[in-house]
Amino acid sequence: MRSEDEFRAYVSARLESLRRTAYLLCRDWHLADDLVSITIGKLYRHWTRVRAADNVDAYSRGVLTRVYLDELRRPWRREDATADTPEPPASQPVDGIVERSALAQLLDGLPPRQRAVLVLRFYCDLSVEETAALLHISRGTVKSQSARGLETLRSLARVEVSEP
Amino acid sequence: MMQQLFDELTTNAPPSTVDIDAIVARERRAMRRRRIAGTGATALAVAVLGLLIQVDPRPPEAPPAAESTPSVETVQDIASRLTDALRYAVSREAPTAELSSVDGGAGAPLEVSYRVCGAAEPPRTLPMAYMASARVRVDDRDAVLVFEAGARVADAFCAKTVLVPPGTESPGPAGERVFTRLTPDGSKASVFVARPDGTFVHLYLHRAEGQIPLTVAQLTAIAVDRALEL
Repeated sequence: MRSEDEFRAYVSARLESLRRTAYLLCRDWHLADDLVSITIGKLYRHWTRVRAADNVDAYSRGVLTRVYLDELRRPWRREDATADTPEPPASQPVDGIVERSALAQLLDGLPPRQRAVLVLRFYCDLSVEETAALLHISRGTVKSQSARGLETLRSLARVEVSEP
Repeated sequence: MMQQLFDELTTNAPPSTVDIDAIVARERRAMRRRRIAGTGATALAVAVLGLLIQVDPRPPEAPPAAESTPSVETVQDIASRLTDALRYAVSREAPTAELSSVDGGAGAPLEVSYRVCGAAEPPRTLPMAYMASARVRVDDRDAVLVFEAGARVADAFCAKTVLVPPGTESPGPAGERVFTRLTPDGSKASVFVARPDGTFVHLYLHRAEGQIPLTVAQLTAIAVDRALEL
């Protein structure tokens, strides 16, 4: 089936990109693979519609982002099955440079939607309009969430850096 | 700068466990099943109709069609049936409750959708899971209600859910095992019903702070409703 070959070629080419986007959204590689698998299934089911989209990559990321947000609503994603919370690794920022693990922690501190807006806007390089369309929110919300998300990251980074 | 920072975060990606071939094969099978289920239901309806026309010459006021139930219930049928049953059960237990979509989303409140469990591990058998959510408001209190039902409580995927409710266990009216849990501040409650046939129903009600608008008893009455059986 030509359409299926096309689908396989597209997904194979974008797999790593989708995994990285999923990881930035959920911050867990195992869950990221789960989300990408679900996304690929959805793309396969609607491939005729997907390939007709103006921006297939943006469409795919939109599906992935919605899968991620849906997944968050599941009770077991909100519940903590373990009694103990692991200690976060101590970060040692040097001269105002927030190291990778510290940035990861900062990103973890953002609410899911705000993180999704930041990832779509600044990692996937989508416009305000595209991000708004993908998340079914207004352009104003995207702008305010971006600004607030960036400001949160900056303020968290300042706190992180100023800690002894 | 942000792009660079994001790139740095994903530099140590582990090998992918996503199996595109397995996902495609699974989706193909699912499409085939849906097609067969649809064709089968139509063929069955046509056969029943043909039989009735041949065998039963009674006028149309005798309603034989109402007694015939399709033997094949598709996942869409089940989702639709569960939607009706769930809304009815909630309105029965909480007549003053107002339902709305969570986060103003496009999905209708308590409209049941379905998905295949355990997508990331192809060798696993894949049961269906049904889920729905809504914001429930009673008087001045509102909370988010999440409904889930699944085919096999023992499945590895569903085991994640089983981890959730190690609360108080009590027997249900039809031999179910009912696990209930209410957080000390009264802001979250879950009722997990494991039926003897292996299926389960899980209701989870939560709000950011303050008392949830439904009691555990009301949630339990909804969860053990026989109309919510798969």
